[in-house]
Amino acid sequence: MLVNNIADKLESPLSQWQENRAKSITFIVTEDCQLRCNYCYMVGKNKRSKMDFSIAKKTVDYLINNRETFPEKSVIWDFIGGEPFLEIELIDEISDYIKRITYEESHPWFDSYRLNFSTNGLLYDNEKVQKYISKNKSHVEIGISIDGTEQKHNLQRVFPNGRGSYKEVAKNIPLWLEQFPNASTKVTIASEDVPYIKDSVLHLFSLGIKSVNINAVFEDVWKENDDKLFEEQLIKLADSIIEQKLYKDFKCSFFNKTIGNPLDCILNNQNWCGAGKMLCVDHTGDFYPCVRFAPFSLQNKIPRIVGNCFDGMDHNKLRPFLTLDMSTQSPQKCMDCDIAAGCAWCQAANYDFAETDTIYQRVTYICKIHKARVRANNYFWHKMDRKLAAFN
Amino acid sequence: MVSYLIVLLDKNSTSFCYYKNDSYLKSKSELISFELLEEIIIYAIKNYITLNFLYGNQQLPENYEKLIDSIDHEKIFPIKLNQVFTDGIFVINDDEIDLVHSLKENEEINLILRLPKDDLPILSETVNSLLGKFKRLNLSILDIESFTEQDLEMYEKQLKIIGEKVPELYQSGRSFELNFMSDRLNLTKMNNCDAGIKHLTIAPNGKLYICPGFYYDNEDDCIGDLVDGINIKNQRLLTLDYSPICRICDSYHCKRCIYLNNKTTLEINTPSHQQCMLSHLERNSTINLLSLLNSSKKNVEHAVSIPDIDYLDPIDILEEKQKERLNLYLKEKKNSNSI
Repeated sequence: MLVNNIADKLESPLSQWQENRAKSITFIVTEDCQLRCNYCYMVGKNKRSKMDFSIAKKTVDYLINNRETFPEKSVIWDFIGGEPFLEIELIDEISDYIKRITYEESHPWFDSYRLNFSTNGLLYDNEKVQKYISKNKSHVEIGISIDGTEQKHNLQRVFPNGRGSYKEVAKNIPLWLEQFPNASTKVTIASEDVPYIKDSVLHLFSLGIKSVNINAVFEDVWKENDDKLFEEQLIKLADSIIEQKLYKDFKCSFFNKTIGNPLDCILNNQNWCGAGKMLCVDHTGDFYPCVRFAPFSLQNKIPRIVGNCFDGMDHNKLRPFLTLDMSTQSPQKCMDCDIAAGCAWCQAANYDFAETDTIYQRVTYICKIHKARVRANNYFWHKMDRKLAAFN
Repeated sequence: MVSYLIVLLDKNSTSFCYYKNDSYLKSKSELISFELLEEIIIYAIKNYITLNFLYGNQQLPENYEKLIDSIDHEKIFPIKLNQVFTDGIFVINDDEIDLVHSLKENEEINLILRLPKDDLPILSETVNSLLGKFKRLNLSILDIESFTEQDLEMYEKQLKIIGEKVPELYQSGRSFELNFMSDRLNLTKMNNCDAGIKHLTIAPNGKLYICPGFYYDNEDDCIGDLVDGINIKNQRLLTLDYSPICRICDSYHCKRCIYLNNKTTLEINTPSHQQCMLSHLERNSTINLLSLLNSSKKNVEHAVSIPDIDYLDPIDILEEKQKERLNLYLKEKKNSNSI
């Protein structure tokens, strides 16, 4: 029983508000950002593309007036950039409009909504941002991206002149945690970050961040022996979490009891990614299955537009996303892999790197990293089970 | 395995399917070179491949015809050339509907009727005027990507009118085929176009394409040539197993046109809503036809039973399954939390 509770604590995702039943609507309010993180998939950041309120309004009106197409009882209004807080006044105007129109239309989303933000944290203590948080407190969720130790963070999360952003972000962490004690952070790992994983996770725990979600990038960046080093780091992290009994208060998404099994394409053939179930709109009013299908996120392919706020959804363009499953897009080596469960993919990265213009070809650059993770995960749970058995 | 090659004899060849070739109406031919035609025929002989020759609206020079006749083949040509050829497949394009009335009864001929959406109201009239004059009729409704619910209703109505006329012909003992209505009577598995699997297309530029539609949309979208061979990237996506919608569908007569799929959904393995709706209306018209034939005590040889279903687009089933899986997941999660 105790093992189950701990497993649940360690594994449960960040925020599962409304248990996957809410519609997620993402506004790309700006394609500008103060940072130029080395691993960022938003390769086309620029100062030109900013959303106008009229586009946001048109989008909200379309969503509210088409209940049949968007029947979800709840909604997550997601504001993203670039850096969304650069456009806090616009966001405030959009949020006010959403509240007003859903009230006037007696729409179920009036009292069942979240306002989500993924931010680099630089403007967190800004007066206008704070005023917005205070105004919308009970509905706001904010994730600040901080990557770990100063060394690891500054390796990737840099200003255009190359200077690291750790100090400016870290100073806002206490205020953030004071306002959102259960907040979590999302850490991204690329090849050069691997040696710093253990220290970074422990550092984030020490800052008081209770939930640390980590993603290894899907791009073709992994070098020889990265997997060995990755495994070593995770083993060291596992030892620290267990020996210091950090599992009691902290979560790290690396360790999860459900990963590392063979695929079950009969009972469990669903797609990994939610692209297509979400909706993303940019400054032109075009709709995308998620932000990574927008023009500024793609390196090799044209964007996948699934409608726009003027004409509505193009349901035919959405069909491939709604019918995607695991077995149809995975190569045979994944189907035959004994430890494939939990190996992630990003639909837009698949599309961007596919040989043809398809979302049905899964890229597997992450293969060795997943396998290393599974080995470390097995080690973690073996040690954890023994420890708890002795304790009982 | 590729068993036949469609040869575009003329850049201005008639379309014989859903794709459009706007250059068809040009008065001047842009013929395939004689040398390339020779190469194609040698290639076909060596690789045991059948050739289907697609004509434009001009006659070919005599030496071309002689060369074509040196190998077993099928000819597909616009109905305008029906005075020149006595057998083969006649294509009736939208601007040639009037010519069908002059067509003489011939139990050996196959017809392809390409009807634009705007002509839907005259579909039954056109088909019924042809009934009894041919061995087989393939119908390609054009612009299906722009079909509205009203268009679908109109199509269903037209199918019903045609379906009421067909039993009379069966009663008279005539044997004939309608791709959209009678094919499904005998099918127990998918019988699709299979472009890129069973057949490829070669254009006058010497390049190979999955089908003529890809050539006319973008000449650079080729998949090889006779010398360097064929390379279809992600070829598996052309097959039934790799189409989540089609592999659960039993509208077995559907062309499953990958060219239209690509155009409407941007994925070759995903049909549009309209494609699925049309195929299911046709499937259901086969059920109605079977019922009429049975009530008139006319048994159709090898007819299979077709179950009643309550959807017209198989994506509804997939979405239902996804909901079930989500509910199961939430239930399991709730149970595990309560331990």
